[in-house]
Amino acid sequence: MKEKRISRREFIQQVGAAAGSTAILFLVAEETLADLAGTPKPVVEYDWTKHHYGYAIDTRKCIGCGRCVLACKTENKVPDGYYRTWVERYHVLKNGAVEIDTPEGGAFGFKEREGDGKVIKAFFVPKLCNHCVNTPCTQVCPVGASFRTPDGVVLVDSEHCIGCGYCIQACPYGSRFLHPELKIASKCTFCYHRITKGLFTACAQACPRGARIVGDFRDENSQLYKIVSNERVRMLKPELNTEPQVYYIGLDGVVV
Amino acid sequence: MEHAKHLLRAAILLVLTAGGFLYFRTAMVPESFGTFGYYRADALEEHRSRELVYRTTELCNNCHPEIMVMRKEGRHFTIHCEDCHGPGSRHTDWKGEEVIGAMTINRSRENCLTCHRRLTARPADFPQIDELEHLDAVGVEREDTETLCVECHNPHHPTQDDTLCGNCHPGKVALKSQGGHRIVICRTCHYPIKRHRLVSGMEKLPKPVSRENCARCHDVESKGPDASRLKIDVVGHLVAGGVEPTDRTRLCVHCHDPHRPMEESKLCGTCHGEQARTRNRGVHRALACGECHAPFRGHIRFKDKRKPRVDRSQKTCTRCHEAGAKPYVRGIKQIDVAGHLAEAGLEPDTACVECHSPHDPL
Repeated sequence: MKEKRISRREFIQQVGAAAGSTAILFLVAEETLADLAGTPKPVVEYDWTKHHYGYAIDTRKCIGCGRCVLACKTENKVPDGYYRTWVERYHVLKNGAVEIDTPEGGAFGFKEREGDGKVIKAFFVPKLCNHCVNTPCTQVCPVGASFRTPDGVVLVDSEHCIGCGYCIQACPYGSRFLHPELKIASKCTFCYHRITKGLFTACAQACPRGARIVGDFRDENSQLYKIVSNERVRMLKPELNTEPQVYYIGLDGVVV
Repeated sequence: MEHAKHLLRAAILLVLTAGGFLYFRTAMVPESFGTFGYYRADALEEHRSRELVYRTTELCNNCHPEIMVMRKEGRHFTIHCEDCHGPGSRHTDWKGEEVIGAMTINRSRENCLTCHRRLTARPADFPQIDELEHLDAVGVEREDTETLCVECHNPHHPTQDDTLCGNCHPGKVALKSQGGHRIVICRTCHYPIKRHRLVSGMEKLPKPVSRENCARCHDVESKGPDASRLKIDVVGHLVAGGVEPTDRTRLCVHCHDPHRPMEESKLCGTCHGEQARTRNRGVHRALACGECHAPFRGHIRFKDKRKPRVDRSQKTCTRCHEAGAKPYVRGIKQIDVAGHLAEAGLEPDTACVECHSPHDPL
């Protein structure tokens, strides 16, 4: 056999290529395999799969004092001019017109209506994120920053959100807004840091009339469960098939 | 294989691209992504471990139980403390052990009016006022912006009698607090109070004087948690008091002052007017009949008019008037009994009442 002598350049090239590709291969293989094997679940004392949080609002009781709005703003450091929850006031006039107002979200209460027209009926409707089961907002998020937890709460991953605003457009209830400083999407979180510890949301705790009830659908002793089982309840915009989890008692037909 | 270099290059390129993509992906996608769904599972814990700003009512109760007791009796029981006082994080740490600052105490009218201003949209059964009308009704000048709601309404118990009714009717509240009806709130009898002082041209409160109103709690057959322990058989009581049971003109309130039902001059005085008048003339007018004549249980309550104690011996008087005895009231005249009798030249066991009328001793 004729002995083939390779040059030094060729030798270095070949060894370099071999070593380089092996290194890259190992690196990739290690990380990819680890990733594909699945990360271990975080170990915490709270079991996400045992709860299903929901909300009920009794519009017959709401007096439009706005304590809920203020409580939410304080608890969650909501910036001025934006609201994670708000109270709307409806005036139904004799001529069929409906006047809706929500001055500063109702945070500082309401003043008496000034205007012509005889008022047939008037009432308050508090609103917040409905934490829908069939959320449009989580569907449209391009990066997976908007998600629904195993216990039924729709949250925004503030570290992962890129602030594109698609979810804000997608929400049919107008619950989301773009945080002016953090530049991420922001919305009601059902005070996740409170309800997972057995407390009430800031808004439900603040309501002096007990018009707002937060609870766990899986707990048959909870007030929420009793309400949805016994009262005449309705959701907002059911025709959109978003399956909201906020139930209203006494919701009038004119409410949008 | 001959001329395989292009295949080799293609293969290397493919491996590099695939490997590079996989590596890039594992580096860029966050670790906990995909555990529960298409999101970063660590976000759950981040949301969960946020700092709490508001506390709970139970925590307030730990240090302020007396406020909680007061709240429980009133209509403001459903209001959360932090609604008016601000978040608890300004006041204590989460466990409620260390005080780090004061909470706000908002005494302004606006704080109350935010909830209680009359609005068309508010439910009709919710107590709401027109600010100016209410000021008129309670006699405050319209220009007066200094007078606060909390001057009449205890914010923790806004319809608490002593503060609310007592503002305009201090005498009655004081009288009530001296007798057995101190546990009966004004509203029990003076009900309903819907428009009294809420609007001008205020309606007067009803003053039920009927026997039925008293029998609501005091009849032997009345049940329920509000019924009085002091029950009487109405017919027997009337007969014992010398009233024909069929006589509907004689009412309970003729003898019993409804605010202080055992008030002596009215009660005992109805039948024992002579003694009552004598007593009221003299220094013993501050002395309750029951001080000497107790126990008088059953006297007039039942048909068999049990007589109250009438002890004419020295003991009754020396209980207060013996030098060194603990007096009923401060500043009463205490004497050395033996010396007093000796001076008067009387036997040491003479009863005081032989010289001193017990109802008007001087």
